[in-house]
Amino acid sequence: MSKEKKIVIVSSDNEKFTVDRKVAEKSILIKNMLEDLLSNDDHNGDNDDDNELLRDAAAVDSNELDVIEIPTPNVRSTVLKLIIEWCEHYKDISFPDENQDEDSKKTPPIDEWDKNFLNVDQEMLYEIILAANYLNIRPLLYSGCKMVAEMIRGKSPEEIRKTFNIVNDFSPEEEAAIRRENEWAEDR
Amino acid sequence: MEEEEVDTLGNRIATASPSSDDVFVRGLPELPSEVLVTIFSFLDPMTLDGLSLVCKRWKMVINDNELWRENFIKLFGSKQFQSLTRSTQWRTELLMRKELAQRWIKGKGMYHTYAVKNGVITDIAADFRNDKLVLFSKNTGDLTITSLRSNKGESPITGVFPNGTTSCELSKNAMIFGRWDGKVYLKLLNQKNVYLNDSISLRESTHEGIVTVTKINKDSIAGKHGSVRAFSGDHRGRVIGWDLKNYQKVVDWPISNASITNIESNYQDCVIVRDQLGIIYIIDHNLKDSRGPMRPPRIIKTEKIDENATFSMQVDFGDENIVISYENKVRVYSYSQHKFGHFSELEVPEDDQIYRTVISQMNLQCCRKDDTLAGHDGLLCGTIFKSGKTVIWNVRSWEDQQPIPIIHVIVPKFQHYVYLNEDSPRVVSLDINSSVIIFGSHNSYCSLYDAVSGDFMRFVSRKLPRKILFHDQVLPVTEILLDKEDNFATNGVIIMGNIIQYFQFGEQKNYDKFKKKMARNSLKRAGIDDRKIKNRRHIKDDVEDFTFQQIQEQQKSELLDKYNGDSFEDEDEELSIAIALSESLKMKDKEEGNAEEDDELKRALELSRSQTAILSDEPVDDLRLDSEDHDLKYALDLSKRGTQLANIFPDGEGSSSRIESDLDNTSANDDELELALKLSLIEH
Repeated sequence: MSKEKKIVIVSSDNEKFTVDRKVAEKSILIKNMLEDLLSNDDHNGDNDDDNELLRDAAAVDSNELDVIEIPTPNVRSTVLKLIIEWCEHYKDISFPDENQDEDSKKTPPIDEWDKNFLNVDQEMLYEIILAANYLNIRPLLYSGCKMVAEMIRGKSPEEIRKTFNIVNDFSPEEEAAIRRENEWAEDR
Repeated sequence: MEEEEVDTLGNRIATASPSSDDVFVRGLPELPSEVLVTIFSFLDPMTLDGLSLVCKRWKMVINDNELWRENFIKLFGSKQFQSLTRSTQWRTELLMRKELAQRWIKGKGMYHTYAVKNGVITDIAADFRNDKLVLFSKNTGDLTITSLRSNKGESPITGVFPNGTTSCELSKNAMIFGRWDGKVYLKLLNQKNVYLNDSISLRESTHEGIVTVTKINKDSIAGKHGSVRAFSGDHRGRVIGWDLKNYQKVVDWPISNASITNIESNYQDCVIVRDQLGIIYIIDHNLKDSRGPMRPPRIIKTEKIDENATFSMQVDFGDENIVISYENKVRVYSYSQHKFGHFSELEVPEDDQIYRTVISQMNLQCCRKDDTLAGHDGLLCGTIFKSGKTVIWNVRSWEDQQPIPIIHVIVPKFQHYVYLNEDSPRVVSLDINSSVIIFGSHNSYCSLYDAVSGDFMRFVSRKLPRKILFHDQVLPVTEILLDKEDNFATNGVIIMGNIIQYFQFGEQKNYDKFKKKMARNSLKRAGIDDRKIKNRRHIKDDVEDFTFQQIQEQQKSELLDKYNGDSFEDEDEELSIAIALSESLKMKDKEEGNAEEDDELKRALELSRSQTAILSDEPVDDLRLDSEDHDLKYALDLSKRGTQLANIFPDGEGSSSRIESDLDNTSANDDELELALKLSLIEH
């Protein structure tokens, strides 16, 4: 039997996306889930002839080993589609699993491809960031956050409120107090 | 960890928008806090200050230390590290760290490579602030003082060893030598021309045997009177502490019966001594004012180690830990009150051996461990194994009799790798500061890694130019020194045999404003006004420089006097007093507005100088009178009148000696003095 397992990711609105394991494992969340699910199987499985029968039996018994469904209850299908597109693009590039901070070491601050990829409206960008956060896809999360950071950079508080539709909930007195605090801090 | 995130994140989002089929997030403000923090972490500190004005939630997020801490750990994967900013705010630490990392990684590299004509370099001291590099070869005794960033002013001096040197240590200002006969010498390296500057023998050298260890304060050697700035230990277990301002011994401790092998001190309140039997003595003593008896040392017994083994002992004075490292063991011992004698050991694979262990010491004397800082004020240590693997661990975080927890295992990669043979280690040197770890290979290449995350940052060294290499020589990196005088520095120096490579990444950015803030915060905690400290430090430095020059001058004049051929030292002294006295007289004359007297005095002076001791005796006698103004005036009058007298003087030695004795007898009585002098005049 083929060792390749098909992974089906299910969006919040019940749309199903079938992907390769390699693609799905760009999400550390899914990767860990799969490892947990398949750990027994993998342990027995590796080209050990004696266990072949056993394994086949297991596979027959539990269909879900061939097709694994992973529900993502808080990712919409439109977002999930983009996320999978991103994973497909990077499937052959291995990021170190941890300490992803410096994946920008040799590339410009934001990868050009990512920049184009994330050139969507604000709402969609936030949803991608959220989904990346939830699915634990660090490079994508950081690219998204960098995009937002770029939007914030160099703007005054007032401009930021306008850009991001934020209501100023400070009273004038409070605002003045913070300003004073900041100035004081800068002086020092 | 991921499992947890599912729960927390899943819950949060679900509760935020129960109608899950609809759009979850309409705008930035609705993003969860940890995502906001991640976004903010891509901005600079200045921008963030402004952002706290946007809305209450942002302000809260920006000031939430715990949130930043989590984000930091997510980003760097470690929560125990050496503080870069010495700030309690994880936000500050994170942002500054990122900015500095960018400079290390993306900064344009500036290199300067040059060869020095020194013997094989064994000792190195670098002064990054004053652009000075001191190199020394224990094998040949060659000493080179050169500019760090270029090899201008290179002055190799051969054979600076006093004969029979058995131990020595180098600092950026001075060198100290110990000899087989128990004498200890100091050589100052401050002066521009070191040739003139002969070794100074420290007085009262009473080591009764071979000096086995010498140690010198690396930061500054001139201190307050009575402060210990250097140590020496001998093969009979005696340790002497030296005041390098007066070249005197200030403490003399018979510590052990065995030969002393190591001495470490913070030159403030603690000395750690190890002897050949592996016993470590901890002596708590005020080294700034060393009077007072020695308290009985605290003792930690460690293994006795074969004399030929490569052994190192390093001390973390801030948290009171001693790290010893030798062939198959790295151990850390605590000598703090509550954990005294506790130890922990690094696990060494059976088929591997320890090559070298280096503690990252930023400021040796600096502050006690401060647990409130972001990163818990760790202190990193790197151990190189012969297999090429290196292990990074925290000197300040371990449990008694448990293996040392390892933070990172790094197998450094280098630009080029020439395979030599199995026995020679690939990684031969390393250095750590609060931001980076740098590794040196056996074929003169260096690589840089992030000290917190352990991630690769960049290759450091340049290929060595052919013209300074012999044939196809493969040079190992003898030593790497990062600039540790400034936490934000991105420069250092690599030593490969007798080839020096200075490197610097990007411009040395000015963090003054931030640093000021940092310094003030840490001082605030200590309850001291920083301006005072700064001024004091400034003054201290100046005074140190000045006293050095003075001492140097004095030494020089003493030598000059000696070599001028006057074999009678007492007379020399008398002469100088005579000169000083007549000069002070001259001053008085000036006050009286008498110019003629000056000339006369000068003549008299010249005479007294050129003449023998008898003449110079007279002003010495004046010295005894000088408390009485009257007497002085008389003497002056006399000298005025006695220009002729002075001319006659050389003729009649006998008479002048009579005057002298007369003066002696009558010193108390003015009239008598006058009489006697008149008499002597008449006599002539």
